[in-house]
Amino acid sequence: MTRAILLGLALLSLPGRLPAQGVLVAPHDVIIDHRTRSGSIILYNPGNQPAEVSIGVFFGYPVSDSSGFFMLRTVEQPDSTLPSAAGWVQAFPRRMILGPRERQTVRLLGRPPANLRDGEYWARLAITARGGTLPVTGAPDSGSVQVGLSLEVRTLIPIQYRKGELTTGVETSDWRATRVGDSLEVRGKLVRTGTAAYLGVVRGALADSTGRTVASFSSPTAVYLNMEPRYTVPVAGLPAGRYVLRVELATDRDDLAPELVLRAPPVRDSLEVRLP
Amino acid sequence: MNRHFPVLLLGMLGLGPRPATAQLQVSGIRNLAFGTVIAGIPTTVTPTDPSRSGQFEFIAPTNSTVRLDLTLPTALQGPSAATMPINFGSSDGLIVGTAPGSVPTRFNPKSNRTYKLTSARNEVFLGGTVSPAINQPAGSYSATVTLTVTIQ
Repeated sequence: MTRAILLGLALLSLPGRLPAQGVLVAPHDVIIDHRTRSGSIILYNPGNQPAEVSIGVFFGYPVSDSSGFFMLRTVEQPDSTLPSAAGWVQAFPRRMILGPRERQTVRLLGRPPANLRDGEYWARLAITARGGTLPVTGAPDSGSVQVGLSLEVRTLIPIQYRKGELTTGVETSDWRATRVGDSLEVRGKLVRTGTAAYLGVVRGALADSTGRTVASFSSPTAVYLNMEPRYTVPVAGLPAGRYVLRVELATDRDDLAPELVLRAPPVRDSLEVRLP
Repeated sequence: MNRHFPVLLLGMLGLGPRPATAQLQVSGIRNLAFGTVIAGIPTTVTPTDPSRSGQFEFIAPTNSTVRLDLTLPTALQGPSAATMPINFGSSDGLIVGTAPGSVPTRFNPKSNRTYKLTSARNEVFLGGTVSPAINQPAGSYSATVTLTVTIQ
């Protein structure tokens, strides 16, 4: 463990880091209201080299895989049963060169079909940034073989396009916990209710037989349709015995603008946990 | 003294409450550089190599869950359409946060990873192995590695 920490510190304190080639994106979730049909993001190049940035829009929403990790389900040609905004939300500009420490606002404009029904429609924004060509080190004319790989970064953030009065909520069931090493892996089924994605926080508190909280977790969670996510609670050093895990899902997200969060009453559940 | 002064001071120092709209930053810091290689002899760069490993950095709200996908090449392109195979081993990826107590974790860069972030700023290091042929044409060989960061 100590070796690993020392290794990490050594890696992070290295001299001679090259200028970063990337982009800062804010906010990390774009919510567009049908009344204005527009939104925006700000891109910023924090490095001291120009970055070539391109913007793309596609359809996708988060789901959980069989292990409880989240993944993006994408559909290239979404049919009318899927609430896709990918075909009619456009970004301006779509390509740009961001100079060192330069900022650019990207406008997102919704051009939905005239008969769009009330509801929430989803898309994903892909922001790809490439730096200038990175030199392959070595003497070019020596008849030698030089090898280098350049880096590209891509940021995928959600877009939600909302029309009409929308509601959200979540139903939860089937919570269970399994000890894995020095952690407790906790999973439960989450099914969205209402007409819009549930953007909330899942909090868990593990209490001992006296009711004292001995471990906890908190994780922002988005439920677009349904999820069965996995959370971990550190339980190293806890004595064997019976505990109660209380889980709460609430919509008080502090990383999103409050006026954009659809509120829903908190949902609570609990389960008994035996630690060996 | 104005009772709001400490709050204002913290805000000016950037230590105040987190803004309502958080941001996401993904950057390539250092390319994966094998440098000059010898024809016929495989060359490996480990993710812990302090000057030749590839290095990315991403900044996201602490506590958020992100998914990392590395798009890796299987071959490098060289002069006159020459190619050179490149391979990434199951422990050629390394991720470490910058918060106190963050522990570096090795991972398989060919697999997708989901992380619950305990640090706002995180570094991803990448190693790999190139296998030049015995008659590999001289010249520069390159390819691109893409890190995709998805927020839920």
